[in-house]
Order: sequence, then C-alpha cells, then structure tokens
Amino acid sequence: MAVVDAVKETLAKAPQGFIPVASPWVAFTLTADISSCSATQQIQQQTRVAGMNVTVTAWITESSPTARFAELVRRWKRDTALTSSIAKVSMHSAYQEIIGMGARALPLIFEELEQRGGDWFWALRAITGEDPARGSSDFDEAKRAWLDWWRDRAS
Amino acid sequence: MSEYLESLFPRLKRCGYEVTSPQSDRPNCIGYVVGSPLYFDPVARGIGGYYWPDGIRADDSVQAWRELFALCFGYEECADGSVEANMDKIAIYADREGDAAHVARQLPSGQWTSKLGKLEDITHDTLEALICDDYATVVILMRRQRT
Repeated sequence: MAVVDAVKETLAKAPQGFIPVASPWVAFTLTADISSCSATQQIQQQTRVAGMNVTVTAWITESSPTARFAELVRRWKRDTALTSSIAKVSMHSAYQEIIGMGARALPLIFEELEQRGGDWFWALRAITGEDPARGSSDFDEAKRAWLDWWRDRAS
Repeated sequence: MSEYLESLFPRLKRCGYEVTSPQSDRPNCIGYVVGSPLYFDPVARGIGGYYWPDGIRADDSVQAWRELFALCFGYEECADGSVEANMDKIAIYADREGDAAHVARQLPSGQWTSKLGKLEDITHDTLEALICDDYATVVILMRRQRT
C-alpha cells in the first residue's frame, strides 16, 4: 500500500462531520477552514507500507457548520446537476443533512440563495415550517419573498 | 464544447452538439421546451417557486408528463422522431427507475434542443446523444402542429 492510500484509508474511519486537521502529510485532503474548529481527535490504524508495519495517525476535528454546509452543497449540486425532479433533488442525502442542521443552516442557505440561487425552497419550508412564497410559481418572486422574510427576522 | 458535459453524456461528442446558453437553474427542461420561465414540478406543486397545473396527475411518472403535454400543450403521441413538415416534436426520457427525467424539443432542422438540468441549453444532433445514467432511455415521442 502506498503512503497516500494508507492515509486515505485511515481518514475514511473519521466519524461523519469530521475533517482532517492541517499537517504536511494530510494537507492534500484539507478542504475546510479550520479556524473555528473544536474537539480535535486522533484516529490510528496499523497497516503495511512498502513492506513495513506502520501506524498511521491522522488528526481530525469537528467541521464548522460553514465548512460542512459548503461541502454538502458541493456534493448535492454535483450529484443532482441533471435532475429535474424536486422530490429527487430534495431527497439527496446531502440536502437532507442540510435540513437536519435546522436553524443553524438558515443563514447559510439564505446567503447561498441570494448569491447563487438554487432549489432551497423545499429545505426552507421544512426547517421553518413556513412558506412566505406560497402562491407564487415564479422563482424570482419566491426568492424575494423568502429573502424579505429572512430580513424581517434578522432585523 | 464542454468537457464537463461530455463526461456526463458519454455519447454527446460522437453524436454532435453545441452549447447554446450559459448554466442556469431556471427554467427546468419542461419550461424550456414550452417556452415558459417556470419550473414545472408535479411533486413540489404548492411550494412557492414551482408550478404544476391543477387537474394534471401530480407525480414523477412518465404518465404525468404525458398528461401535461397532451392536456396543457396539445401534444399527441407519435411513432418516431423523424422530421415532419409543420410539426413540433418532443421526446421524453426516463431514468433507470422509469420516472420521467428529461424532455427535448425538435428543431425544424431535425436537431434537438435541451435544457440540461441545472446546466446549459444545448442543441444535439440525435436523441441518443443524451443517453446516460440520469437519462436512461427515450420513452415517449409526441407531436403537435407548429403554430
């Protein structure tokens, strides 16, 4: 097994929501901002690299909501780029995890909606239990209604 | 030409295509073929930002899409995708689960035009060009008098 594969295999044991902490030898997997990280953990595994028994140690840390959200959005967009059905788009595991973040996801969703659009109305309704855009079939109108709703609550 | 699209649609390059718009998540493929800015979705009807007409079967089945095109836009089923004078044709694709996944519209030249999910609009020379994991097969062809 190559070193890079051993590291990847070890990191694959990380619990959901954890990311590698920056270090020279795991830098290639570092995808998130770690400035707001907490709860650093170590994971280890014994393996063979170049014919030698070695212990691979990886340091991981709980991902910040912002980093986790960005990763989920990236996955969701990649996997549903060709999907027309809103039911299927909304049932994607990454989208469901975003809904599962609850109110913590709202500022991130509204920022995403305002800057890049996207099919967020299902998630917003699921999280808030409201639909200020109800009755509107036009995307821009629905987007405005939701952004106004959010600004009212944020002010 | 787009390497990303060609990675999603393995037959696209061989069959011939041209990108005709930048990426956009509105409208969806149904809105695109009928010239509407709306996002037609049967399951999301009732949620602000989406549209599906009252009285039309409201699920992701091919039958629901057929009903929509027949009752709301005057299409009827036809045998094939050959060019017929003064006829507009559409082709409905299903995914691997048999649910409606995409619709393309024929141009007078015999080529087809499609809005690819949240990606670009393209002109493709054949229906086969879009066969992929998401758009597994063409299940229905429909036509109506060109206005």
